[in-house]
Amino acid sequence: MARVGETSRFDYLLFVAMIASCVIGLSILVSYMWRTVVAGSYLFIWKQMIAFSIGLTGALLLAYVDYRHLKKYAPIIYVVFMTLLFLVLIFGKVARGARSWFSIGPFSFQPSEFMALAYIIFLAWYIELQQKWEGIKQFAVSGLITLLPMGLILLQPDFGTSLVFIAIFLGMVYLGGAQLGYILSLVIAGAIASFISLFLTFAQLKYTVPGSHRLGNAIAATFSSNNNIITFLFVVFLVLVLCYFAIRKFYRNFSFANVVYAFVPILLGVMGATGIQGFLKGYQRQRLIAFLEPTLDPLGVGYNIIQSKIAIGSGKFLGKGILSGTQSQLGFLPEQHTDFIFAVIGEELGFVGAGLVLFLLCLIIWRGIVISTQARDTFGGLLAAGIVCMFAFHAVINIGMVMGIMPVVGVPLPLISYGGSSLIAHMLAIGVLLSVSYRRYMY
Amino acid sequence: MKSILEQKLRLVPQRLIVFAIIILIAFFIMFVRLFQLQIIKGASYRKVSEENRTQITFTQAPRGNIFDNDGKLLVGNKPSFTLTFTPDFFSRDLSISRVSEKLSYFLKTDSQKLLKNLEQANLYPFKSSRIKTDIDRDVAFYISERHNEFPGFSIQVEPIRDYKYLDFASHVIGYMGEISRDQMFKLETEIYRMGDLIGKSGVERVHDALIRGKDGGTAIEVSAAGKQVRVLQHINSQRGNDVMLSIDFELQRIAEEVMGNKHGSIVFIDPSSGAIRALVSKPDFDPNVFLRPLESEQARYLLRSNDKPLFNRATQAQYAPGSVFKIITAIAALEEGVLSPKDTFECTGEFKVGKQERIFRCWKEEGHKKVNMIKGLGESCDVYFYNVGLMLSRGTLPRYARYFGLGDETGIDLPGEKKGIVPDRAWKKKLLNEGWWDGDTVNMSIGQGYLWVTPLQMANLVAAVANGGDVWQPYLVKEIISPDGKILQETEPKLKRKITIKPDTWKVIKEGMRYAVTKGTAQAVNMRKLPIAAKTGTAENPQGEDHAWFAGYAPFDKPELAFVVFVEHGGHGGVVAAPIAREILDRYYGLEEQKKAVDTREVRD
Repeated sequence: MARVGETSRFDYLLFVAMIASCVIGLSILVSYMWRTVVAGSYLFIWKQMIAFSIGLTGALLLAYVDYRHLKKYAPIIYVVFMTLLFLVLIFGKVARGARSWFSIGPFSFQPSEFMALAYIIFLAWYIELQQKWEGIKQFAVSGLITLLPMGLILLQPDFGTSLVFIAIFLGMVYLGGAQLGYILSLVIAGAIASFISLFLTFAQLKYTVPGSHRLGNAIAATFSSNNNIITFLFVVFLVLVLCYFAIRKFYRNFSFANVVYAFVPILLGVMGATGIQGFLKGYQRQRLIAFLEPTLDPLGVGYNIIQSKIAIGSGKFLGKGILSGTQSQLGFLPEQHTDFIFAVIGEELGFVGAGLVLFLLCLIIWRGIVISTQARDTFGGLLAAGIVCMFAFHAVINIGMVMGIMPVVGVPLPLISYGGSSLIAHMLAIGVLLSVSYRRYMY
Repeated sequence: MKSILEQKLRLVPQRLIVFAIIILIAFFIMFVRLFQLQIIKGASYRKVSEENRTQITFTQAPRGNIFDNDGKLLVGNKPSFTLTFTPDFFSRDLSISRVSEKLSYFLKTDSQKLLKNLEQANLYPFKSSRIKTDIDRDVAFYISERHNEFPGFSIQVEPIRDYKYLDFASHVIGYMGEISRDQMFKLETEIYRMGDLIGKSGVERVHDALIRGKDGGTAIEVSAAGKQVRVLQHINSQRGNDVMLSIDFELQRIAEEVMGNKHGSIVFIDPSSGAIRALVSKPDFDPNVFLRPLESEQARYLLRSNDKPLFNRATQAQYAPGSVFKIITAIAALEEGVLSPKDTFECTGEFKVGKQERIFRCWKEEGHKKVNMIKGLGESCDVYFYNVGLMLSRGTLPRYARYFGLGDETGIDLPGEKKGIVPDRAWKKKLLNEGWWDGDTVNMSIGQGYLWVTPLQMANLVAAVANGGDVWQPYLVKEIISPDGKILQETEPKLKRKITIKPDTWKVIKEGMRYAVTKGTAQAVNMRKLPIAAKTGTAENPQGEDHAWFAGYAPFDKPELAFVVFVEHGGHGGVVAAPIAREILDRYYGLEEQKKAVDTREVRD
């Protein structure tokens, strides 16, 4: 084993990608604030700058400290942030319809953004602690570790932020070696549950006249109409089911019992669909499917999607230039500095700029995967894997949403969207990645 | 390096590959989508975004004016001040929350609510958003004079309806309100937009489409910075058409004043055309209050109180006509030839009907003694008409009632007119599943029982008596005039029916009604300078105080006005309603006659 030089031990590529993303985000924020008159728009910039400084310091500090120290503190970190999530429900400030913020003077702090990182550390610690995946115990305990923070965040209620835990959970237990059967069962159950409930909402919205409840007709009409997205979703669903059976066969323990067993996730999914129907409010379900056909709700969420697609599309190859995007400058775009920031980038900087952002995020994720494979222990590998999941989920959901191919779920674009807590949390995560990378050859 | 993986890493290597591939595919899809949006469809999205640069602003058209019969302006428009906010012009050096606090003090609104509105407006920094409509003139001037204190705020002048005489003729004119979703749906025309005000009752409602005019608008191209580049199209708003009512301002004003705060209605009608000269319904309302959001107290009174101020008691309220109906009974008897005007009956104060000898009383306990038809009408002797009623064959009274337009809409140009009820055997069978008894006929012959009429129907009835048989369709709108002075619509008096009965019959009825004024129950209106013919009435009300009726016309020889005064729970027509008519006519004709003392015991009908 050849020793690698000091310089290459620090992952400069990852570090540079992080700084570049932050700089792009800050520039867009400055240009947005330039033309708005929100009270104290300078304050927004200052707050973001301060958050950036804190994040940078924290990231470098974490990179410098051996990540293995985190192992000792993993349960404490998890408990502390769970407590904070609990307290925010009582003492938190309500903004944008959710009780998610502690406000301290001019600053506010959103514990749910940090919870994801705390949860990754704790789950990595737990999985490493287990010697084997025996029976359903480890899988179930991991699931419980996931559901606790998710539940608290759903109570705020912040649907978007809670979803990232599912992505991280699936990624970490998959790479951590959990039984494929459990994971696939869960995925299939989830797919069925969300498919059924969202599909029903879509069909109701599109094909039922208010007052009539002929859902059967609506479903028939949906299939007869040549809506490619519905067909696409259905195909995806079928492929998932087929994969499931194929994999089970591949493992050569296919039996009649397994066929029966295969119905369990489907049953769970159908039951889950009822749960989703009950838990999500009508408008939330509408939001989730508005991307399928934004014209159904052209003045609500659909409006935002239509306008953001126009913004991105009209940027063409080179963009309209900073401060010249008509869609963003004339106020057709909502939430330009937070959830829809990618649309502003697409409009003003074109394919070049938006592509660069995608590339930078891709780079970070690629480095994350490499670091995960090179990590010197399971804990480090899982930490990196969880962080990769967090970045990938946020990036894909956010960018997919503004481009109209993902549901409207309020998640930030990592490192770029305005929001101090999210910025710091993601920068700290990069710090952890850097630390794992830095110590890959240490024993 | 491979050895490290195998030794130390428990992450499953194949799974890492699958994991990486899944993420790769997701990002690949993002790239493809980005390419599709920006490169493939870029040109068409660019075009859409350029169309997005057109802003359209509407300018509200002023509604047409409403005039009285002589061209006196009753309803016009006045400028109202709307506060708008264009966030882009706001100064960075000021705190928006402090400005909003200051504004809320002047506007007398909640500052948190105002701040929320301003933040909402901030989503569209280059558009001017309405913050508050109809603000006080002083405040409007104060704000517009202090640009530095309130940058980005400006005052727009918009026309707002001005009901000059407040609650004057409010049931005729009507009021305005925001168009409802249902109305939008039903009207199916392009001239209405969501949030528009539309006439909700009265003339404002009936002729809304003609009165409202056409909104104008401006299409402006804006630059990327949101500044106006050029005006693409400008359409001036078109003022709505004016309406001239048949209402006589003076008569209406006097009638409203004399009625005071009694509940009831007054109708004055021109017997030569059916033109309504005055239409009073009390309690009434001030249409101006509907132009702003109603305060809860106001809303409760206007919409839910027992006073029902929005209810038009002249056209929508239905009561028994009482003794006024004796006109019909008398006409029926004379026309059917069951008796001559000179035939008499003895009134002892009571009358027995049927085998059970059920007793029906006259309003005058001691009786009228010997009564012929003219005295019967004039002194409103119940026993005389009980006898007459029973002499008529069944079905005759309802037939004559309908002949004079009872039980049917008069066709006045107001929404929601009621028909009333003319009961007969079939009606009673259907509704109560009972036969028609002699007692029912006896009741009906003096206008009690199941009979229901509106005050307007009664006014139209006495108008037909006054003019000798012409039943006109009453109307309120005389002319509709375009802004450039052309008459678009002129109401031709419409004769609904010509009542053909013997001239002698008319003569007897008129003499009976004249007798009522000179010697009978209507002596309250016995005026030296103005001969009047009239009939009193009292609608028995088992639930409470009786309703007072008074119907008549003047002058006796050459009728100019037919009228009805109705006082809800007023008591006796001759005691309560007749003096009201007297005072109105006295003041309207400027007679200044001394009020005569009337023995109320003699006119208790």
